[in-house]
Amino acid sequence: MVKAGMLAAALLLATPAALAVNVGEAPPPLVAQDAAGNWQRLQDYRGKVVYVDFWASWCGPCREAMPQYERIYQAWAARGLVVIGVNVDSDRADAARALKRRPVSFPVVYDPAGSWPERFALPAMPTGYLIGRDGIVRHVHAGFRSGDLPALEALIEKALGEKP
Amino acid sequence: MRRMQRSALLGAVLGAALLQGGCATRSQLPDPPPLMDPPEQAQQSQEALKPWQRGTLAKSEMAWDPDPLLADYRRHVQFSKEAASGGASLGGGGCGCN
Repeated sequence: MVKAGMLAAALLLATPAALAVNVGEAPPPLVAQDAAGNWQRLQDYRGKVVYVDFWASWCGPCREAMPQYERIYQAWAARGLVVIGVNVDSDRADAARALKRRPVSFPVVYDPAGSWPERFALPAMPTGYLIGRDGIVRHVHAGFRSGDLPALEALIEKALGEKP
Repeated sequence: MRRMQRSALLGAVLGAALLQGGCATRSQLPDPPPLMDPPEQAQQSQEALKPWQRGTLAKSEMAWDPDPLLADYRRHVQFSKEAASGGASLGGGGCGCN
């Protein structure tokens, strides 16, 4: 009986709603390798505004979002914006093909096992996390529509204006 | 009055016949055998696909209609032949004209 209760509690705690990263929280300490094999750490970008975008080559809205994030990154990198693309394709070659068609200059890291999306408990694909200069999540952007961009850009601009 | 009495009696007899005749209710049916063992079932129900795990499902060969053009052609043949029943969609009028 006690065992069953503990199992029920564990299951309850393991639900995505309990694990999901929300606004006002610190994100999990993302560490993953990029294409060159360099380790990219989220904590290394403390003091900057970071947009962590989880994407995959098989996800249409993700592909649509990539050039937009590249444009935003190019425009605001000088002001302290960093975009980190976290690819969750199980096959790296699929990701490489997608990046060849839509090249990006921001760092892209690979998580074929899907352990980081598990830690972040993504509500959808793609999901973007806007992290302020203080390392706290400012906005969780589930899914992507081009109509979302003005509001997202306003949030990024606001985060860029904040003091670390 | 007599007629009413007779119809009431008939109703009672019919009702009794229905009850006696083994008109099966849900509780009398035996429980259906489980499709799989309960622990296995529980394990599988916990394995819900997460949004980032849909890579395999997103492949074109996983679609209901891997070839949309061929599927459309087949649907056209079906509703042309099955005009009276409306093909794969709603019921047709039976006129045979599509």
